[in-house]
Amino acid sequence: MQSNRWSLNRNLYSRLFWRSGVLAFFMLLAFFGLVFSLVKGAVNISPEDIVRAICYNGGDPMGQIVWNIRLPRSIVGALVGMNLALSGAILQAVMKNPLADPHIIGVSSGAGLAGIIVLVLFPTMDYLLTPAAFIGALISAGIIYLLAWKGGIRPIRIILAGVAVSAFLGSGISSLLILYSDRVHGALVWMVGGLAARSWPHVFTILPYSIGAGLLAFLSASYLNVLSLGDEVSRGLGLRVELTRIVLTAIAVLLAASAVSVVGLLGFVGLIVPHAARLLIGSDYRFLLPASALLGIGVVTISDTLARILFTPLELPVGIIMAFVGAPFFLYLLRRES
Amino acid sequence: MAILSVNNLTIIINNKRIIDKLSLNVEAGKILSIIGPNGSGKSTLIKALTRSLKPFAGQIELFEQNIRSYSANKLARQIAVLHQKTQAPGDLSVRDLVAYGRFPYQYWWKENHKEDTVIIDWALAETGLSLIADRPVNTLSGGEQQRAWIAMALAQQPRVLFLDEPTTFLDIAHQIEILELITSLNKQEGITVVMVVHDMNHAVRYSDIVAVMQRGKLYSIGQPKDIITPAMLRDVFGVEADILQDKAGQPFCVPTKLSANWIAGREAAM
Repeated sequence: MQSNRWSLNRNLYSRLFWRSGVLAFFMLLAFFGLVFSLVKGAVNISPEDIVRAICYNGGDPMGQIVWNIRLPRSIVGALVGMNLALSGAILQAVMKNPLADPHIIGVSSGAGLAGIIVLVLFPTMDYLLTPAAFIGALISAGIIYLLAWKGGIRPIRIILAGVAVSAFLGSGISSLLILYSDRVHGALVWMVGGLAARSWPHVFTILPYSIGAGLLAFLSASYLNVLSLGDEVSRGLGLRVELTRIVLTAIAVLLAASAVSVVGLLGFVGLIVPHAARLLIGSDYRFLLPASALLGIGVVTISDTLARILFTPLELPVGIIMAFVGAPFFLYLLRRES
Repeated sequence: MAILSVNNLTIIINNKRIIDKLSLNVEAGKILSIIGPNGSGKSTLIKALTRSLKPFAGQIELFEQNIRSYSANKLARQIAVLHQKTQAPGDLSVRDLVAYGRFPYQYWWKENHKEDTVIIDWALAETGLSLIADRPVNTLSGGEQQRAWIAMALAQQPRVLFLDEPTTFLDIAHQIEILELITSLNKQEGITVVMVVHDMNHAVRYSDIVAVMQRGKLYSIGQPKDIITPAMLRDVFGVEADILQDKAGQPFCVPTKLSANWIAGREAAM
């Protein structure tokens, strides 16, 4: 009996130990990603120079590069990674579907169409890109929710409505790209998502949502846990399922819309980062949410740095690197699991 | 005292009357079993009683208060439900699952860890799961999983426990194990139990009151020995049956063949 109890405790503690270990590792990865993205680039800057530039708000050219180019870009990358990963993690629980991601609730197609309209039809007004994309994302998410509403929301109806609306908006995107094929280049970059030339205004666009919606996301961990037991059980436990689902979807929409409106249609992070985190840390949202956020930061900052330095002076959009490196790694995790 | 009273309940789903003007009282501290053929509305009744479904007409009163007037949390502290189909995330441990039973007592700004832990330990002990509390739920046998879900319901500290066919997917020993667990919770903790039971003889042996449902109406309700009769089995279930007596003097039913009215009904349908 005594030894039995001891082994039980060991089991419990080893699980906690493992989860803390994974979290610590993701934290290191995120930190490494941030440093890596600051240090590497067209010119390599030593960590001491970086620290000096940040502390003294850079005066020399090196400081200028760090302060005006590298630092905001790294921060935008980190926030975008965090937002998209959190959004995907929330949606996977709310929609009870492993394929749920910010794409499914129309954020990408809405932001995509609005962004393309600005880039292609009003190329001189590109300062409208971010707000237009943000509003487009909110509108298309709202339309999908309304279409799926029938005395309540069933996740499968949201997913089907999302597919239909995305296809509809996608046809708009495609026709604009074909009709204005001479202006496609900027639009293409927007469609795959990239961090090139992202600066302080972009940081301040996304930051309030990262803080606000991010905080709400972390507070909702126990609601997400209960929701993943199924609607009937959640209701039996006193959860107001419909209300919870609306609020959580809204949080996910804000997180994703703020990210996508700043960097374009960055796929992959919202779908695969939460899955990778889940495979390593389990499905308890109290651990899964911080793990997804940290892994999102690490993945985006590291991928963006690679995208910058691999083919200098040419720069690839970060989305391409993420898919190229991340998809095989994800498949490896998946096979190892089963 | 009637802990739960149902008055003229009607439930319509897709223009079909699933429950039709049903009235019913449940006494405190009793075990009530609901039996009836497939499609007679048993599960729907459980869903309505636990406020998972909205009635078309009629009232349900819990502790002499309309069930609609309870807040979601308050209701979940009075009643707990074990549904027919349950599914937990694969890596969830038994203890974590049982801990969700404390959800109606928690608010995001306030958690009472000490009291919760005591109650979770108690629920695990009552269901005999203390020694496997840290195992993932999906590594447990069917019977153990069912006990884990019952433990979660217990952690809600309910005064009424609803169960929808709690033994359906289990072998005979585990069926008896679950039914004995339910009985002992009823006797020792005083929890009122309302359950849908598939096996008529189990319903007889493990309940104080048996209610028979037929096409959304209550056909009869009362003590098992008054309810289980050849006429009821013919009318409601469409079988001819011998009613024997077991050693405790309780009725025991052995179906012998399909009844003439059932066969006639089948031929009329063809």
